[in-house]
Amino acid sequence: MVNGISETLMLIGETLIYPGAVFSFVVAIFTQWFRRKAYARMQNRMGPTYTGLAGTLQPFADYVKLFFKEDIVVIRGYAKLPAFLLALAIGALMAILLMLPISPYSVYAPYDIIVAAYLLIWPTLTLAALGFLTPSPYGALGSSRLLTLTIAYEVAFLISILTPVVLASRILGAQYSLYLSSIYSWLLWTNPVLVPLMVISLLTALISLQCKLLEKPFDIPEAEQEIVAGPFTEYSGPKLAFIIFIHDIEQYVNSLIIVFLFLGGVAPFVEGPLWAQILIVAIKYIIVVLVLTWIKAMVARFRVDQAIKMLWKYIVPLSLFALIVSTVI
Amino acid sequence: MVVLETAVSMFIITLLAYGLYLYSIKVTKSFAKESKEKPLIYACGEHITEKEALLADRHLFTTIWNEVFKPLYDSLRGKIHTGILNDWFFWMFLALIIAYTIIIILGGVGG
Repeated sequence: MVNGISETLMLIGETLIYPGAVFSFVVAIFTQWFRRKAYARMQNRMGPTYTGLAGTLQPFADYVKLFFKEDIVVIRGYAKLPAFLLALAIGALMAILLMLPISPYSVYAPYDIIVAAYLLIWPTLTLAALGFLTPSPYGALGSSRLLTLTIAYEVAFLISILTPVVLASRILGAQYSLYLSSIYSWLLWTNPVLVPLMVISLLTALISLQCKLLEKPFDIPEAEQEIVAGPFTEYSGPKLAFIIFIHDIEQYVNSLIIVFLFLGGVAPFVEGPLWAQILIVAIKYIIVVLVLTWIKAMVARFRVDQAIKMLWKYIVPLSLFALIVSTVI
Repeated sequence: MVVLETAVSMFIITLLAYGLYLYSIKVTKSFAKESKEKPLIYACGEHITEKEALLADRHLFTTIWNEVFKPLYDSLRGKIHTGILNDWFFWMFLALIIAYTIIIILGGVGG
């Protein structure tokens, strides 16, 4: 019983502090600052400069400003339902963190990748619902575009992350668990037969993640020159802060999944000291964010048909190929 | 267990975030100025009414009454509702005949 209570307290502590709410907020601020700074430097701009050291506190200032702005609700729009949906999406994303090795008391079970996949889809559905909860035509149009893309990129992303999970489970006995697969995945790179599969699924995961984050070239649902801000057009104040926070947390969680499933997590310091393991995970995380930012800075926006064509014609078949080969190899 | 633990975690964070939102709207309401522009709807630079501007979900249920049945009722009312007592008796008599006809067709009352 004592064990049960201590485990429950541990779970609550993890949810609220590390790697949950407080830590995620800090990482979200850092990630947003880093992305904005890197994106600006790639475009020969300065990026955030004034608030904090080299502008590091600018995202925090933005959050505080939005949080204390008036929450304007348009006529015939819903007032509290969008906020509740956004809160649910934040909860879903932070729950995934417990299933990753960064969590001291990790939750895992055989086949828990299904739970992770379910939780990963929450934010997308929430963002799509937001557009339909306001009577704005921009919102409805943005949400319908988002749902059109969702069918393609969610499939591609889930298939991509399934490949290392299936390989780790079939070869190393990871029991289709996100946590165990994350721990064993670095061993997959030591087998030369599996390296091409890992490379293919890493590429498809990165591109579908770029689409999941609605970044260029896949920012079609919130294309500001055409439909203002798509599903987010009519939202302001704390709801807009939540929307931006979800974007940052989504980048954080999905990038961590890529770091642990594809880039080997703490490898090459599997037996090394804790500080070295934290440092290597941080470096790999920054590399993933930098690559995503680089893609964003490099390309222009696709049209809807171009994005759908690219996802269904190249990304989904490639990821499916890697998954099928990984099940028979 | 993994489902329960993630659900508990999700529940706690959801409560926390929603609580923060409620706190935010409570605080901002205390120092917000009442805006006169906000309730007005503009399209192409002109003020339009709420009914003209929106196609909300509740229209799905009310449109058929407002747009189809109400004009039909209005036009019928203009022709039928003359204010003459004889006309009223005529319509009542007609309704009675229709009712009797239906009852006879269906086989009468009480089998």
